[in-house]
Amino acid sequence: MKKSIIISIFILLLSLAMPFIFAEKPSQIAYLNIIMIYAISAQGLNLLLGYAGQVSLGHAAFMAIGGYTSAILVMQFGFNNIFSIICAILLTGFCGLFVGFPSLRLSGFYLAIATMALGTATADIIKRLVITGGDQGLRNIPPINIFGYEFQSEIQKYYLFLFILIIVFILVKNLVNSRSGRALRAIRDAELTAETMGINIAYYKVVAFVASSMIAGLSGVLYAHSISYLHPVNFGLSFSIELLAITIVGGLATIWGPLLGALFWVLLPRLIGVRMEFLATTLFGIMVILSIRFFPRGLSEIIFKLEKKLKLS
Amino acid sequence: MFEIYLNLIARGLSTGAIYGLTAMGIVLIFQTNNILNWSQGNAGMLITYLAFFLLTLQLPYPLVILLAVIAGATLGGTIEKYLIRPVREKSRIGLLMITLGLAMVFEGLAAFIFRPFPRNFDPLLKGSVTFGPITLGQQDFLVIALSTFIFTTLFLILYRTKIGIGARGIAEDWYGARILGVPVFAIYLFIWSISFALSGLVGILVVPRFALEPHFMLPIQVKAFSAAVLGGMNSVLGAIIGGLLLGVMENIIAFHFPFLKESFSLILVVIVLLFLPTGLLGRKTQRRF
Amino acid sequence: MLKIEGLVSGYGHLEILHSINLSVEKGEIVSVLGSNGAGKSTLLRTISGILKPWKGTITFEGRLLNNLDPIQIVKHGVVHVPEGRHIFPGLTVKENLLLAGYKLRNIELSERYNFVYTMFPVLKEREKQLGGTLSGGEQQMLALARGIMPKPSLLLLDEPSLGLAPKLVTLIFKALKRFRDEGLTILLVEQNAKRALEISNRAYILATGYLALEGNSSDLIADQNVKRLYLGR
Repeated sequence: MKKSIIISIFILLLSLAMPFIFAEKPSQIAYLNIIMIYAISAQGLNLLLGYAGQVSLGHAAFMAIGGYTSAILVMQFGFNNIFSIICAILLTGFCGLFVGFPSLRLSGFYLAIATMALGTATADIIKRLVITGGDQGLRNIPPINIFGYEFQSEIQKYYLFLFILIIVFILVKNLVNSRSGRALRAIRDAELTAETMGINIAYYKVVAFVASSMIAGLSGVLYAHSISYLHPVNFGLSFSIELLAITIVGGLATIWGPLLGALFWVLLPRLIGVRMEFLATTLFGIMVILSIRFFPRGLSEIIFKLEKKLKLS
Repeated sequence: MFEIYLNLIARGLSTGAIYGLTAMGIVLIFQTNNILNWSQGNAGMLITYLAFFLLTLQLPYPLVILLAVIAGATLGGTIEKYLIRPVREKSRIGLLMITLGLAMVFEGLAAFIFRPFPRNFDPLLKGSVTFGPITLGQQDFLVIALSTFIFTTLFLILYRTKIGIGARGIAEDWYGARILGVPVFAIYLFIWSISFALSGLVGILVVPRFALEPHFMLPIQVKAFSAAVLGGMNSVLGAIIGGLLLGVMENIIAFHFPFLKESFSLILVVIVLLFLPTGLLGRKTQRRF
Repeated sequence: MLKIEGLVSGYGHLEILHSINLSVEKGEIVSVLGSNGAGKSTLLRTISGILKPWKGTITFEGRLLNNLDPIQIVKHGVVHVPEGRHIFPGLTVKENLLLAGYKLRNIELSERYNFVYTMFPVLKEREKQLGGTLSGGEQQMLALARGIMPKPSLLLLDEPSLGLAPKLVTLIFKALKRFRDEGLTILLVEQNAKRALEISNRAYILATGYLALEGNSSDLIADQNVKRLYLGR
């Protein structure tokens, strides 16, 4: 018990100290920021796929909806940034509700195809609308501005994202450990049994979709204001699949999985060098296959192993 | 006006044949293996790169197509035997994820070996042909002719040969087939080989419309999934009809409402899934135990 | 002919059969009786290779079947007609039979079609019809016909009378008798204990995965306990 607290504090201090470790190279911090954005989005997907067992091949679309909503509200309607973020999250939640209902009638593969279709269609619609900048994309999105304080530099963004990441992870952890979380896992493992146990499957599935899409929307907002540029191509099917791969490689139904997966996804191409960069996708694909086949908890397996060792010694 | 429609339909049939061929590969694997094969498109992409390489060696185009089909069949068989067979007991979603990982492997390999920059890929036939009011590119005509030939051959295989009837048997009742001593694993191997050979062929036929790059098959695969769902997911005939129908409808819609070109089929697929889950020709099957 | 010694088997981690000993001699009909969940179907599935035995041996004509694939077990002449028939509804009657005779060569195949059609003339009439359009009785006949298609020497039958009207049950059991006259050996799993005992030479009674009783069918019919427990009244 005490040991885990010490470790948590150590990790927290380490993450707070990160910008000082990389103080020389702000570009490294930008990578960390991207990792956190991916990790937040993947956490949403983890909630949906890992804990509730529902596949989504359109998760990137929720990010797009969140990002575009907030950016457009701020840039074209002059909304307060906080208000625009809240609107963006609510709208993605609403879209999640809209997708959640079909999920009640579709299972497994069919849900995968439906979410694939909806996700791709969303990216296509964004490309054809005028308000979203269409095929030109949306440029010069202002940085996040909270009561006049602008999160402009990478270091400022880093602390903001870290704060949000911790909040999201704690919320998800509490959710999956609650009554609802147990219900979700029961549905994932045996739908029929869950139903006979009196669990309201429809309710929990929709809740999972809504929560997951809201988290993705939040991640999209951070993406928009951080990268300051949005283009529908970046939120197509490929990105949805990447998010899925990140979640799987990190470890389904593990709380640290999304972060580990995102870390690995962003760092892998840098680790193997520029010449081998394109091979990273292949390596990641192999890791997806290995995760499904041998390590259902993916990279989190390492954490579990470490935890065990620490407890034993 | 009427002539315009005839031309739209003719070109739509060519596109639809491409969708149909890909959907057929997906459905063949889906109904016998109960696996949604996400790597169908990217396998074709990788094989098309191989064909591109062979063409730079100055090999004759038809020979390259033949070699690509053989390479596809070999790839499919290898994947079934060494990758899919050991994990058949995994959940269906797990199997989907494995093919998804496989698609990433193919994508990375293509980008790594051949660099990810778009490349020009010439069609086999460049001219156009005219039938009365209809003018069609020769390559489009080739696609229609070839796919008609393939549809027919496949139907003969499925209805006249032991291995094909066996495949239909497995699709209907896997347990029943296994208990009768039908060599299910040999048939799985055969099905994966056919599907991947088809994906390679589709890749070569369709790539001249775009440019050769690691993502070029993804939109085709999305459309093929839509076609398969429209046809009913577990009917090979449905996949073909779904593909042709989608190709034609898409072309006509794009003519009247250009902004709906891409989204139309996607929205259609969601509607079909919700209100006609068995598609046009599909039927409810009992799940395996 | 078939000898099972100390067989333990089950699904996943669930042990269903506990140390079963059983033997079938050539030309016999042997029944396996017992209530639902006694492990009768598990026994047949283990013999035909769908399930792998955990412990013990299954030998057929001196050959160990333990680790063989269902395909090889069919080749050795042991054919399993599963509970619930499992015919292919979208395949014609003839295609159903073809898949049952998958390993046969073409010349043998036409000879087997003729044999099966003389056994079940109604199937000849329905040759081109889809399996799913047959009546329940006809479907059961097709299932039996598929069982004898590959020229087996041992037939494993799982509940051939399930869900059939009494008149059809009589028909099916008559067919089984004819199978025996043709020199076929049958291991029969049945709920309908009375009928099964009437037709079989010997019987085993399973209870919750253990062998409870074995003996000649005529003795078991007369046995008061068996009567009370398995034959009703």
